[in-house]
Amino acid sequence: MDFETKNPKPLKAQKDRLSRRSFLVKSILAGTSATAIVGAAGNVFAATLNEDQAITMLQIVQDIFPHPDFLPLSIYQDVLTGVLTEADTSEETAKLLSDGLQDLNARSVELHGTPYADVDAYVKREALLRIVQDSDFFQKLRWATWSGIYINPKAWPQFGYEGSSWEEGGYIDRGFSDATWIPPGPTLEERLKAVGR
Amino acid sequence: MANQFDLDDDSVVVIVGSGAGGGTLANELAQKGISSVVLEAGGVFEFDDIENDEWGMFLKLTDFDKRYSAGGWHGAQNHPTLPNWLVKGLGGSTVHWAGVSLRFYEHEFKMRTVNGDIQNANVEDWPITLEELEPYYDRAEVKMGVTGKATGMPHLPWSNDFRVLAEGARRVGYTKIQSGPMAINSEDYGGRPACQQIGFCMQGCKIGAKWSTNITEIPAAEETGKCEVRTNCMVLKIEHDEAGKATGVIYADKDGNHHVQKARIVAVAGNSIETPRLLLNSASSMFPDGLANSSGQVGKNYMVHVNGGVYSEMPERVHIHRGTQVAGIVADEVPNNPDRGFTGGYHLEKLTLGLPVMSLFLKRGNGAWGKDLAEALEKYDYLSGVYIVGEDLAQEQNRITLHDSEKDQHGLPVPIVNRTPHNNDERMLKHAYGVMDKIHDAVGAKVTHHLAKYPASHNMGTARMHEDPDKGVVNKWGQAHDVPNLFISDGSVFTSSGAANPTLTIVALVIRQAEYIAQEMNAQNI
Repeated sequence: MDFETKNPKPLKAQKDRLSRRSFLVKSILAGTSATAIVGAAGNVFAATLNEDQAITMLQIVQDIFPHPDFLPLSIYQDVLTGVLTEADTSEETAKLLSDGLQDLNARSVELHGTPYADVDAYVKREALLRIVQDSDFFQKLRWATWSGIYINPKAWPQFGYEGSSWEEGGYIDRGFSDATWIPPGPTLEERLKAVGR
Repeated sequence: MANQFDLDDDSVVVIVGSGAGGGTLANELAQKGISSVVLEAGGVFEFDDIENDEWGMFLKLTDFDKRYSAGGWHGAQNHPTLPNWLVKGLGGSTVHWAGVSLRFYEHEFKMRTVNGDIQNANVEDWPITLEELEPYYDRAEVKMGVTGKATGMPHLPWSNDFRVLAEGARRVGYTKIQSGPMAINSEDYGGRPACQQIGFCMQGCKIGAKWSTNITEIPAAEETGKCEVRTNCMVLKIEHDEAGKATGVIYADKDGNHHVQKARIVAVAGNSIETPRLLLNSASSMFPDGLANSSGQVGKNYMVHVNGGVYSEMPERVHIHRGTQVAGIVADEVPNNPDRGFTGGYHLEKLTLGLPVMSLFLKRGNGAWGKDLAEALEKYDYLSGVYIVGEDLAQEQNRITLHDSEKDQHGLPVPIVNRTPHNNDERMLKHAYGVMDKIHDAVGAKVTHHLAKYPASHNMGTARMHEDPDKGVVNKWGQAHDVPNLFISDGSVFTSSGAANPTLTIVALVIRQAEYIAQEMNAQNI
């Protein structure tokens, strides 16, 4: 799995944090600038969350359920947008996220000398998240990410999951027993015979 | 035509709950001309409410009334307020059940005789035998439309997922491999259509191919004019007279207004948590430890089946989501064979999980995230797997108790579901995991995942049958030893869990119970 190279996170070479941020806003949020989201409506939110925090959260949601070569980045951007939108209208959520990020970054700096988003190895970031996995902060992001992927019909086709089927008449004529790599089940005649018909 | 009965009409049988037990009892009595009022705590799910949406239906159907998990099982940590996955609504858990309709084996009715005294367990024999129940199993199968010889309906066609299990099982030497018995029509039957392999059985069958009491027994009972169903009516307490006979129930309607419905007989079928809870909440000066609890066994011996899941990534696509969720059963490990290191046996049942639920159960709890899980889920379409259903030994400590201080929306103490697995459970599960590893390896599995126990949908034993009134709550008819016109009509009466999904046995017991109730009413004994 080519995870590290595909993972859109800060390039170490870019020392200038402002330019790094500018780069990230353009490339990661792909047109949905963090500033636009941050500044959308909530003064409370704007006061507590900033672009760096949004970028860190985008990294976190990708680290929670990483599908780097599998799902488009837009799936994660939608998760982030959802979280930020909620924070925009809920002071409680904004504070939960802000405090959680501060705590995570403090742990990261202590262990690795750098904020979370700049930790380069997935295993190190995962280990940091494992430390806080029982927190409300982490679980909020986990459930948001889970919802954005595994109950999101837009993501399902990539997994081979086909969702609702009754409108199509189920799978009785659409491949419920189409595997060719294992032997077939008994024929109708054999099944009838087994019940005495 | 649905009838309406007066609150003061003390000639009716009041039935608490409308699921496998309550719904069946209402119809069986109605067909004999006996009037009943069914009080169902939940509302009605219409066909339009049923969607092929695994998570949406989980949120829609699940009974989220406050309950706590306690004891030494992972659920106490991982789903502390969802010990069980049950449905509150017309039809009860027959709306979401998978349709597996297995009979108990002979030894499963006499686990004490067969195995002797088992340390740290409270195992007893049933007061009935397989032979006595067999005619009622036949009738239950005909009523429900169970594939097999009683109905002549062939078992369902084999899906990819089952073919994987079946071929693996065959390669390791197993022979008891069948796509039934299932209470899912393989042909049009009972006015209901044949299964279309839709793949969302446990979200409520969209076309009614699966037996559920809300679309079969309840409407049939109402049709006779002998049954009134009141939904959104939660029974709070069973009342009794000075002689210790039940006189009726107090219930809260949808607006929270309390009513008393008089009754000649009260039958409780609220599932194995709500049933003992109602008995405990019905304590009085005459019955200080709860109604019908002179044995002290009410709420005790709570059993859920030893269960777990095993899912493996196969070399080719399986499309596990296509087709009937559980039409595929391997029964070779059901016999009681202590040489394996445990008592009782288990079934292996093919089980479809959609992506939403697979992503929640492949790993469990707060730690269910990360690269390993994500990578495993990327192979969702290659996964094949089973649900293990094994004998769970009765233990007194596994029990339903009432919370000291916390109350529900009706002001009644919240139930606490206490469970700590017996060592036998652990040994059986280890054996079953080992067997499944071999089966999956035999068909070329690349990665195998062992899933921990699910929130229980099979709940049994909290008002168990026993010949001896000191050791059980009800007699072999489900009639309370202490209160002759009080019946328990659900899985609470199970003396042991067996290795069979409980619904068919509940229905068979209730058909038999209805005959007894009619006989005793005619004889003026109750």
